[in-house]
Amino acid sequence: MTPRERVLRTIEHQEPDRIPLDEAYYNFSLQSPDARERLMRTLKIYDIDGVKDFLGIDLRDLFMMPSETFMRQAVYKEPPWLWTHKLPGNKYRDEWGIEYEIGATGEYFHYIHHPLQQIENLEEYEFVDVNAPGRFEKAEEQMKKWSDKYAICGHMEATFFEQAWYLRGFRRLIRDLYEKETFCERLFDKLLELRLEQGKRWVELGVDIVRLGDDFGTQTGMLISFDMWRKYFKPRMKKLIATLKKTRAYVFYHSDGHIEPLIPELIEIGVDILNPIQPECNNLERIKKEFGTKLTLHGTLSVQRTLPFGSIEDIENEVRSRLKICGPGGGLILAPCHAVGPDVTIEKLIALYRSAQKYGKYPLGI
Amino acid sequence: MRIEEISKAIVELKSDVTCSLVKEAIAHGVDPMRILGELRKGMDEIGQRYERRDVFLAELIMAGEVMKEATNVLKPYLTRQADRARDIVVLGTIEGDLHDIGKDIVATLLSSSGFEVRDLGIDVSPSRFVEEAQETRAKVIGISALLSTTVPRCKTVVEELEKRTLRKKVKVIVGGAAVREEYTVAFGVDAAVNDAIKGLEIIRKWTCKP
Repeated sequence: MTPRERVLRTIEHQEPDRIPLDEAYYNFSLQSPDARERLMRTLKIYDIDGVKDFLGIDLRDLFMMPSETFMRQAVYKEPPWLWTHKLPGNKYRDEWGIEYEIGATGEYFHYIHHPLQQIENLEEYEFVDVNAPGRFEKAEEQMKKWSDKYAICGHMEATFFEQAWYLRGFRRLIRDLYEKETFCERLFDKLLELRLEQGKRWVELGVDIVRLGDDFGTQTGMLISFDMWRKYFKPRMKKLIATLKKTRAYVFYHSDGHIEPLIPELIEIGVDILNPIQPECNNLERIKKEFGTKLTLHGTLSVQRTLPFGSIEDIENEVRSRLKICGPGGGLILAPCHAVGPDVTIEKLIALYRSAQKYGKYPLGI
Repeated sequence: MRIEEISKAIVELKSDVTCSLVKEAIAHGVDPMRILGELRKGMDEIGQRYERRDVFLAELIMAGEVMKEATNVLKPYLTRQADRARDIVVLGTIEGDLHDIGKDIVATLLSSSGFEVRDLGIDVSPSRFVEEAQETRAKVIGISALLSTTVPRCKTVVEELEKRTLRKKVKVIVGGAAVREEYTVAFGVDAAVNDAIKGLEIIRKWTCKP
């Protein structure tokens, strides 16, 4: 069975040969070596595809690149959404005009400028052109290289809400949601237009999965009210998903935090795969029981507790527990819930994937 | 006008209405401290509703924005005396961590509860926290830390306080989504919370503010 068949079978809620595995998000580290580089050094496999094969990762990810023109002066090659122009000091500007600064330890960045923070008329701002030369050439090459073997994901996360607040500023956008309805509607419509075009390119390329997402969950609840989600985001997400689903693509949806109450409506608008279902914030057992035949669970392994603070035994136990609770009948793709920080040892990461490969064979004997 | 309308306007998240009512109350000669009290009452109500999960985080943030705007209208009329008695809380996101949403919510809640907040921003070194606390004679240091890699750095703040023999004078609280109570023992802080309202309650108890 190829990795691709394994993934597609589990999304169809059939049991493949073993639980499919995916990697964590890229580490957001810009200057310190990220988990993938550390893995390469430890395993002495100096090709990232080889590392992924060693770990048993069954999916491969495609990203829309910045335009050819922007790339001429850009720095940082990975991850692709962090292609930026260098500004004086420790500052950078991306293609959208959003500016970042790297923190004292070099591990993380924060936003220092949002291009829409002073703009009320959206005509004054030039949104990125999805069809500009240079955007999908790399993805086309990777598609040719990977698509026979692996399940391919086209990325389109930070779909509406997150991209909007990167552009506007977080508190500013929250205020706008209450006070500037017309502005918000226009901004989200512009982003919808852009995502529909981007989605069209992904499905034309023939990806298996389109990854959408916006963080709407906090540790204990929803960030915004359900009414507000239904008013601004649900209809646009529904339209986008309906367009994507005119083809054979599956829809993946990412939101950190507690989003359990949103699940029925995400299923209703066509979400097939939900990520990361943080175990600290959601009841995995209940979600599997109630929605396990309609939804594939992706992620589920704790990066807030077990990976950084647990022992190797704790990690193996967590893997086994997920297999037992969420694995029966397919519909589970195991992965760490988010970026693996520099405090997670490579031994722990390897133990995670080894135990998933060892115990994740169907029929599950856990 | 009825003075209670001010707190009601905050609860309804109406910034224009709240500011107009504050201006009207000032024009009618209402004691500015009483107006401030009404604003705080509104914030308290939103805080309680958030604690009961009747409102969402966005509503808490929005109420904070309304509070800030209304307080700016009121500020020129508040006497220095009102400021003088305020307890100082030094607040910031620990070095290496750049998340500020939680910290900003706590800053707003503390300010609206009558504390003077020295917000040092994000990516703050342990020594900077302690220097500010020493300089301002702050009673509390509030550290925001979201990441598993940065939470342990709170211990360095405590060690720095000990070095300067300030530990007994300054309480230390750490807050963040993934923060757990057992961090009090692990990092030697006085309190560890994953909820802004809980954090506010603890600081209020420490400083005997109702």
